[in-house]
Amino acid sequence: MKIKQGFVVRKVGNDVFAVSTRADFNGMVKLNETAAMLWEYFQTEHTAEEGALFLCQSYEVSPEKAKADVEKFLKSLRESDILQ
Amino acid sequence: MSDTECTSVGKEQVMELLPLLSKAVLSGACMPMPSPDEGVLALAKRHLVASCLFAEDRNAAIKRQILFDAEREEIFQRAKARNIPVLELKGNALSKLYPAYGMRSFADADLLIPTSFERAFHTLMKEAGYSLRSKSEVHANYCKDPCFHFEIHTRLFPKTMKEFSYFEGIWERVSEEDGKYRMPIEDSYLYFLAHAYKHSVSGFGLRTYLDFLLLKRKLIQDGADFSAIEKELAHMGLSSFAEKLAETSEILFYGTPDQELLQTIAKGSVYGTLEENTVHRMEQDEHFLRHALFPPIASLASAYPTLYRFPVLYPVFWLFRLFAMLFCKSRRDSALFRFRVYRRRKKNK
Repeated sequence: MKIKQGFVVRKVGNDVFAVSTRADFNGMVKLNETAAMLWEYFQTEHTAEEGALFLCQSYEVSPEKAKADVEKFLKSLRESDILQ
Repeated sequence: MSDTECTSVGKEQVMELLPLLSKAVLSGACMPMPSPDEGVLALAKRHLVASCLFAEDRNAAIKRQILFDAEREEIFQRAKARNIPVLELKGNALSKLYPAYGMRSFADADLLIPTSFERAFHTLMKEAGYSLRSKSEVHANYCKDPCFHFEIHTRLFPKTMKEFSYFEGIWERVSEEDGKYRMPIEDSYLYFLAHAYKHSVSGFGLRTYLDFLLLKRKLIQDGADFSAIEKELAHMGLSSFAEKLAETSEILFYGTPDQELLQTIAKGSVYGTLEENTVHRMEQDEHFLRHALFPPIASLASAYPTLYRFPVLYPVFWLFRLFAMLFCKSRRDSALFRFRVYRRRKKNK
């Protein structure tokens, strides 16, 4: 899976915002540091397991924690229908 | 201008809003807060300062600004590739003076280019997906879905405004650093005042007073040449206007506004009030009513620029204006309101 095209991403202070330019999603996603990394990672096709492995390599987190974080991140994107 | 709207905003809401704005914008306590009572929120929205304070409005403003910034960067890159200098004006430039991103609201983005690049810039905007909506002597309006509106200025003021001829030579004073063009801080201040003066017929809203205070602070920080500013203000005939604007801004945000000022803010919006606009025009023009019914050709041409080239079409645009007034509720309401102000003033005299 990967994130649909059509977002402008910008760092504002400590936060990163992804603003939609899509006709089917008129919103903005606020990302913390980890979520911003995952956002970048899922610009190309990856599985949730690959995402968790990526997080483990980037941060000192347990595989279980990384998996839970990635699942949470993907769930929120799925709810907004911005995953393909 | 919203005199015809029904609103429950009064002086109490103004008294509540002013210290909140002062703390957020001028003291830098810019973390957004939940919306307060409806009256304060309505007043803040009317003066386009809600994004300075309230979380929901700030998020909407951040979203809008991110989209506009991305668009502007793309336009700047296209301009750079063609060696066209572009200068940010008005809201774009002023938003950088606010303590946090998204605090200063704006409706459109204003850019200045040298007149000689007008045609090349038109091509550039077309290539970027924009369509030309209207054009006047000083700027062209370009739009693109879903929300983008750029005003591309080729002049800062019309040629007829001789008092502002100082700005004719603006490009000689503009400097370039890392591909970004900037006018001197003294010129930014003078342009702000001249532009505010041009629109002063309706009075001002709170956003203008905040812009002014932030710009004045920036002047001090940058060690601006105040004697040069004073000299040029006197030359433009804006010295007393600048003093009055400074005085009112200080009273609003650092002092104790009187009842009349509170009432004006409570009734007004970001562009002041329609009543102030009407009264000012009546004072300036002894044939106010005649000119309201039959505007001079220069005045009508500012709304319908085709008239500059084809003045013979005056009757056509006069009729067009009349029908627009009859069928557009907001224009009809404004005209009726103006007429009521006119009649009341005449009667009182």
